[in-house]
Amino acid sequence: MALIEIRNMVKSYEGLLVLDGVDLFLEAGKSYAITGKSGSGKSTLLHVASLLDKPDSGEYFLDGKEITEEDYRSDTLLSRTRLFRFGFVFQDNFLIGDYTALDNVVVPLALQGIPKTDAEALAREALDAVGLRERMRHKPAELSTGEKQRVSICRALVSAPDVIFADEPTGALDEENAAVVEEMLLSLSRDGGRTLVLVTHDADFAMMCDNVYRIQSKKLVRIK
Amino acid sequence: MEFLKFYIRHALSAKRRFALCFFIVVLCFTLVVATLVFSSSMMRGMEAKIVHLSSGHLSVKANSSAVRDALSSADEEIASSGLFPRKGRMVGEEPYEIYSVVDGYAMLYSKEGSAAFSVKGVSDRYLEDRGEYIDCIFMQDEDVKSDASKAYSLNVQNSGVDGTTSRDLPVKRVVISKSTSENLKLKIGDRMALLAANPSGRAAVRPDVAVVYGIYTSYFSEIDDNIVFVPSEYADILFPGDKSKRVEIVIRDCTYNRMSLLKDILRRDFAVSDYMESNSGIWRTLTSSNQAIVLILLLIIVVSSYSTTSATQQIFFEEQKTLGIFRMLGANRPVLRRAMLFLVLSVDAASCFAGVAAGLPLGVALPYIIKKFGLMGDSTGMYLLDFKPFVPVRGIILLFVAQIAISALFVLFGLKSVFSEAGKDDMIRP
Repeated sequence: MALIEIRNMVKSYEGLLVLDGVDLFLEAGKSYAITGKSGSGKSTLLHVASLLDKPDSGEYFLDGKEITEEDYRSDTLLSRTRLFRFGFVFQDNFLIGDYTALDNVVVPLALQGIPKTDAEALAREALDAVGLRERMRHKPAELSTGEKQRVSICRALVSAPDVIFADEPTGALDEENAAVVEEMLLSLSRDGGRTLVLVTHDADFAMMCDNVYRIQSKKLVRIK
Repeated sequence: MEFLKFYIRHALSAKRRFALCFFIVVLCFTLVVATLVFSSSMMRGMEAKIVHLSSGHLSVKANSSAVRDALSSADEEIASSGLFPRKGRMVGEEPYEIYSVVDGYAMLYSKEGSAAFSVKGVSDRYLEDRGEYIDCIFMQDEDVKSDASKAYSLNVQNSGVDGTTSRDLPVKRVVISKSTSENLKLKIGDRMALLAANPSGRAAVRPDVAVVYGIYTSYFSEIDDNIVFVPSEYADILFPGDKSKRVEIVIRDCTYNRMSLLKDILRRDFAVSDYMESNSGIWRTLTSSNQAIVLILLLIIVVSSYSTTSATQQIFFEEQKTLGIFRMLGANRPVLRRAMLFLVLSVDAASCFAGVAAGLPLGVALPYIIKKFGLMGDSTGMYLLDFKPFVPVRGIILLFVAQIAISALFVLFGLKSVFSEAGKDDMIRP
C-alpha cells in the first residue's frame, strides 16, 4: 500500500491548466525526484502532494484513506498531517526572521505541544548534528545561505516526520553547500527510512533518487 | 498551550512593533477615562447641589411630623426591603434627614435693580448642614465683623455685631448668592425690598424691607441665579398658610431604589416628587449635557478603536508571513486564531490599564488645573468646577470591555478572511 497516492489529479491556476490527470504513488522509505522545465507544474504537484494545496479534481489517499472535500474544508486532518507526518524544505528556506536558529527549529515542536525545555533540547541536538551548535542563537539574517538551509532541514526533521518534501533545496546554494544538503536529504530515506519527495532542476541530484519523474505536457512521466 | 506561550514570548520580545499600538491605545484611553471621570464628577456634583440646595431627594407637601409618622409606621416595610441596612447606623439614627421648608416667589429690589427669585424659608441648621455644597459668608463671620462697611443697622437689638446670635438678628434677613449681590449691587448689611407673591400667584400689596444677612455661592448657576434663603419664620410671614409648606427628605447614600421605596410609601398619603421631577427643567438640561458628553466619549472611543484596529492591523500584516509559515508547518486555524487574539488582547489590555492609570489622576486633577491656569477664562465658567472627584468604576469597566471586544472582533474578522478554505488560502502556498 502506498503511503500517499494521487490519482487523476487536475489542477489549474487562474484558468490556466497546469496538471492534467496526474497519478503519483509514494511508498514509505523511498526517494522521489520530480523534474521538468520551469513553469511545468513541479512545485504545484509538490504542494498538492504535501497538502499545502487542493486539487481541482482527482483523488488523494493517505495511508489508503481518501482525503475528502470535508477534510480540505475543515483543515483539521490536513494541519495535523503536515505537523506530525510531513517536513518541508524550500529553496527560500522560509525561516522566521525574528527568531533565532534554535527558535525556528523549536516551532514545529511547540506546535506539537512539546514543553519548552524538551523542545529546545531536541532542537539543539538537531542543530548540533548539522554543525550549527555555535550558531543556534543567531537570527537568519546573521547566517549564510547554506547555514539557513541547514536550519530549515533541521526544522523539517526535528519532529521525525514520515515524509520530507523539498522544493529546489539546493537552488540558492553554491556547489559545496549544495553537496552537503544533497547528502543530508538523501541519507534521510537511504539510512533514515523516510520518504523523500524532491523537486529539482539538477539532473544529477535527481538521478540519485530511487524514482525519477518528469512533468511533460501537463502529465507525469516516469524516467527511472 | 505550549505554542501559545512560545508565540507570545517571541512576539512581545519584538517590542518596537507593539510600541505604536500601545502608545495609541494608552493616549486614547487616557483621554476617555479622564473625560469620564471629569464629566461624571461634574454631573454628580451638580446633582448633589440640586438635591441638597433645591429640593432634597424627595419633596413632600406636608409638615415634618406627618412625614415622620408616615415613615415610622412603615419602619418594618423599610427594614424588610433590605435597602436600608442597620449596620453602620447609630441607634435611633434614621437613614434620611427631614427638613421643613417654606417656598415662595418674590421680586427683590435694590437701588440698582430688581429680579425675581424663588424664596426658600429654612432653619439655621439647613445651611449649616450643607456646608459641603455651598460657601457662605454671614454677617457674624470674623472678616465681616472687621469691615465696618459691612455692618448693618436695621432692627438690631445690640449695637455691634460681636456676640450676636440668631435671636439677636433681624427676622427679616435674606441670604443671597454672590451673583445676585453683584447683579443688584448689594453687600452684607444692605437693605432691600422684597415683594412676595402669595401661593395664588398674586403679589403682596406692599413690599417688605429686609437686610442682606449673608452671601452664598453654590458654584451652580441654576441655583445661584434663582434662589435666596430666608429664615423659616420670615418665610411664614411672607407666605402664610400651609400651601407654601413642604418637607425635604435627604437620603443618606441615596440610590434610586431607596428613593423609590420611600417615595412609594409616602405617596400613599401625600403629594411627593423626587428631585428629578421637582427640577425637571434643570434636570432636562443636565440630561442633555450628559448625553452630549456621552456622545463625545463615544466619539473618542470610536477614534480610539479605529486607531487600535489600525495599529493591530499593522501588527497583523507584519505577522502574516510568520502566520503563513506556521500554517505550512501544520498549525491549524484555531491555534493561530487563539495566539493572535491573545497577543492583540494582551497588548490592548495592558495599554487600557496604563490608560486608566494615567486617565484617573488626570480626570481628578483637571478641575484644579483649569482653575489654576484660568483655562476657562471668565468666572462664570468656574461655576462648574466645584465638585468632589468621582470615579465611575462601572463606566470605566464598560469602556475597557468595549475596547477589548472591538479589538477582538477585528482580529477574528481579519483572520476569518485569511483562513479561508485550504485551496484558496494563499498564506500556505509558498
